[in-house]
Amino acid sequence: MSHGGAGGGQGAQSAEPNLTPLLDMVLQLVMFFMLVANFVMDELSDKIRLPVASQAKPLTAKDTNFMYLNVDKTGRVLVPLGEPLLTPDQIRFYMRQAARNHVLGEAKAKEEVTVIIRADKDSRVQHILKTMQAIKESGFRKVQLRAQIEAK
Amino acid sequence: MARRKKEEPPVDITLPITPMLDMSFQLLSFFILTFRPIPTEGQMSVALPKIDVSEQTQEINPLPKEDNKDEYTITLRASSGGELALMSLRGPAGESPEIRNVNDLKGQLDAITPPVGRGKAGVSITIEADNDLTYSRLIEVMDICRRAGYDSVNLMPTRKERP
Repeated sequence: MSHGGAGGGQGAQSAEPNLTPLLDMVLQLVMFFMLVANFVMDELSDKIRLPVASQAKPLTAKDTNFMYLNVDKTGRVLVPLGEPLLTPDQIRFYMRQAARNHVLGEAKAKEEVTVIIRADKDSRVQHILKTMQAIKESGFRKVQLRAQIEAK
Repeated sequence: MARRKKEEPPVDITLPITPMLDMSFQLLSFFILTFRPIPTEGQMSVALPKIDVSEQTQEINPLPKEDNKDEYTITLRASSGGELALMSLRGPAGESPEIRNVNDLKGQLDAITPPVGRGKAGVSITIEADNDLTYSRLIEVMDICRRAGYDSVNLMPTRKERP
C-alpha cells in the first residue's frame, strides 16, 4: 500500500509534521482552562463539607453583592488571609470591617450585601445561630445558608 | 554612478513552532493540574433570628408575629449525637400528631391549608432547633419545607434554650 511518502526516486521530500494546528489546539485548551480557572476560591474553604439539599438555588448573574463566612465543624469562622474567628465579638469586628471596606460604602453594604454562611455539615445549630446573631448585630440584613445542590 | 544591487538569495524565514508548543504544553498541564471544577453549590434564604439568641438576655419573649401570615413552628429535638430525635409541628389549630420521620413531616406540611387568597406565601414556618442538632439535619428539614412549597422559613433556638 502506497502512502505517497518519500522514496521512489523523486528526490528527498520534507517529512516535518505540521505543528501549527497542534499549537492552535493547545492554545485554545490553555485559553479554556485559564477562563474557567476560579481565582476567587480563597473565599470558599476546602475544609468545609457542605450538606446536601435539593432546593438550594445557585447564584445568578443578578447576585453580585455577597460575601462568604465559612463555619467549620467546631464552630470556628474561617476567613481568607486571617486567623479563624472564635467569638461573636471577633465575628462582629470582622463583619464591620468588611462593611467599611466594601465598595458600596458601609451603610449600603449592610443593606444590600448578602452574607452566605457555608457551614460544615457536622457543625451544630448553635454555631449557625451564634454566627447569624453576630451578623445581625453587625448590621447586615440578608443571610443565606449554603448547601450542595443534590444531583437529580 | 550606478550602483548595482547585488541579488541576495531569498531568506527562508521559519517560525520555531516547537519551543512555542513546548511552552503551551507546560501551560496546559499547569492549568489541567490546578483545575478544580466549580462545585454545584446553592443557597437557601433564611431570616435572621427575630430575638436575641445571645446569652446575655434571660427573658423569655414570645416570638413577634409576622403580619398576615399563618405561623407554624417545627420543633426539632436532637439526640446526644446531634441526630434528629423528636419532631413536632405546631400551627394556629394546635399541635399536629406525632411525627416519626422526615417523610411524616413532609406529609404534615403538605396537609396544611394555607390562608385563602394568599396560598403558601401566607404561611410562615419557624424552625426551633436544639443547639446540638447537626447543620445537615437542619438543612434537611429546611429542604423539606421548601419542597412542600413554603419559602418563608426562619430559624430559632428551641424554647427551653431560648434566653
